[in-house]
Order: sequence, then C-alpha cells, then structure tokens
Amino acid sequence: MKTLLSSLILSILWVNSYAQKIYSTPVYVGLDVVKGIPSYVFPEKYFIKKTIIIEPYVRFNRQKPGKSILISAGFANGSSKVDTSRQINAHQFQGIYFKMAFEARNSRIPISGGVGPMLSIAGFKGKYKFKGPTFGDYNGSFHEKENMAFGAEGYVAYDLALSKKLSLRFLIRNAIALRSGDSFAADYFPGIGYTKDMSQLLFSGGFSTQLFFRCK
Amino acid sequence: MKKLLPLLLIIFALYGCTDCGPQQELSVRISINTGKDSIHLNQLYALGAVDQQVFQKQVAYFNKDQYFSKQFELPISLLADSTTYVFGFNNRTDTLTLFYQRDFYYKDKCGFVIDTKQPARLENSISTFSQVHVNYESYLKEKFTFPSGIGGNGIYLDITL
Repeated sequence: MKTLLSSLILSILWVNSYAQKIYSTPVYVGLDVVKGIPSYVFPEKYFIKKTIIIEPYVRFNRQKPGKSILISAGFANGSSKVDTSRQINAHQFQGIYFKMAFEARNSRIPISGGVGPMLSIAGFKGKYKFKGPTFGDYNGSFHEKENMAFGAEGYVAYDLALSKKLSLRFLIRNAIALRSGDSFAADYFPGIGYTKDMSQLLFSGGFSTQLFFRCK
Repeated sequence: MKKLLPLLLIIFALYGCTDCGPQQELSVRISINTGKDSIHLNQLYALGAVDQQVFQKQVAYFNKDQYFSKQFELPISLLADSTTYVFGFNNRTDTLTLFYQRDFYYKDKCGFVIDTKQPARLENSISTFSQVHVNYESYLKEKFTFPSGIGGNGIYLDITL
C-alpha cells in the first residue's frame, strides 16, 4: 500500500513537471473538500462513519484549446453503518484509487465535462454475529484483502473563481466499475462510493466540491 | 394488462428468489419411536447450554403426545461441532451426542448465513439409544420457488429407544 502510494505521488510529480515542460500552461493542484465530512458530522445517519477521504488532483491543459487532463489519486479509511439484518455488527474498509479524466470545457458557460478510467484497490474487514439464546452467541469475522474494481468515471463540473489563484469546483460525478471479488458486497467501495447490495457491478454517483490552486 | 398479471406472477414464482435459511440458532428435528410401551420423560437437558428453558418445554410436549413416534425440535450449539443431550426417562437415561460441521458464509442478498454439513468424522452420533439414524440436509433451500422449493429441512434424526 505504501509503495503504491509513493509511486503514485512520484508519477504525479513526473507528469506535473513533464507537462509544464511541454505545454508551459497553467497547472492546477486540487483537493476534495466535501467527501468524508458528512461521515463526521452525521456519523449515525450517513452511510459511512468517521471516514478519512483524501483525494488530491492535478489538472493541466492540453495544447488544444479548452481541453485538459485531470489526474487523481485517493485514499479512504473508515467504517460503514452496520446492517444487523445481515448479521454484520462491524465493518471497516481501507483503499486507494487512481483516476484520470479527459476534460473539455464549454467556451460560453463555465461548465466542464470529463470522463476517464479508474482503478480502486480496497480491503474490507468486519465482524458478524449469530445470536444463540440456548448455547451462546457465535461471533465470526471476515477479512478480504486487495479487492479490485476497474471502471470509468464521468463528471460535469462548474468552476467558481475565488481569487486569481484559488477556485472552487462543484461537480456531479458518476462511476461504474467491475469488481474482482464476488464473495462480499460492501456498502462503500473507496473511490466509487455507496455500493450497497452490489456484488460485482458497482454503480454510484454523487456530488462533491474541490478546491483548486493555480500553480503557474 | 389484466391478462398479463397472472402470467407475470407465474413467471416470478417459477423464477424464484434467494433463500437465506434460518439465520439464527439452528434446530434439529428428532423423532423418537417409543414402541408400544408408554414412556414418561422426566427431564431433558443439553450439556453446555446457558438456557435450559427450551428443553423443559419439549418435555411437556413429549409427555402430552399420545403417538408412538414422538417429535422434538432441539437447538444445536453454534459454538461447537457437536451437541450432547441427556434424556431422563422414568426407567432409563439416554445420552445422545450429535456431530455436524458448522458452515458460516456470506451469501448475496442475505448477508451472513448459517448452515451445517455432514461431519468430517466417521460416526454421525454417539448414543445409548438402540438405533440412531441421522439425515443431513442443508438449512438453505437449493432453489426457492413458490410454494416452497427444494431442501432446506436441516438435520433430521430418527431414534429407536
């Protein structure tokens, strides 16, 4: 996990420097500021509890006008709301994900759209319980390592300039992915989102806000 | 549309849905053939049980039943691959140790389910009864169709005193 993360940071840095050399156009560095926050504000109502989601972005323009490339990596660690109807009484997850998108900007209104591939690697662990009124309760545990999901994500975004350097990006996103493991259906898949009752084909959408900083 | 509705219902019934099984402490069905003699059960208990209430209820049912073949429904332990019951009759005391293999797994649309399999050992039970026949069947129906489906009866014991 650590080596993957460090290699990703290195590759982003490489792409960043490389892109600047070729295009010498503005490079934006961003961070998601919404994901994960509801899990701290409403831990009992929201579908995930106390979940750290770190999702940085790098965006740079291509030579064609209005076209850009977005590269992102994410890390999520937390737990989801337990579903006692499925006997589960504790459920934790951890995962990293990589996204890339080819973005196009509308020339008249400040709305952009993007689509690109994504890859998520996640691990799940938890506990389940069967009540045994006569002989005592049975407590079991499950642990799934390195569960992969591969798919695509698309989004529509609106950029709001805060200052010369800072801008806020509001976006509606949708992800669709195929999962490698089919033994356990997770409520939340890192990078994809709410995936309750979906074991192999994951499909999830959402709203988010990102803060972008213009580097050059 | 009105004509289509029964057809849709039939298709739905034949197509079936997922059976999750009991998802709770499992029980085995026991049938004791007492022969022609009337026999009285004084007590029944299981080793290691934290609550014996369910066995006391079964004693009352047993003594009320007038048939030669008497039915029980007894819980099995989820904490071990065997459960031992002690039957105290008016003229004899019998023990029965039933072996099984617990199977906990995750099933789509159900969550975690519980089932049993035939034990890995040679004998299915150790008992002082003259004859014990154990029949192992899954607690989960193979294909759940209307009105019932295949299987899902669990462990069934046929005992001759």
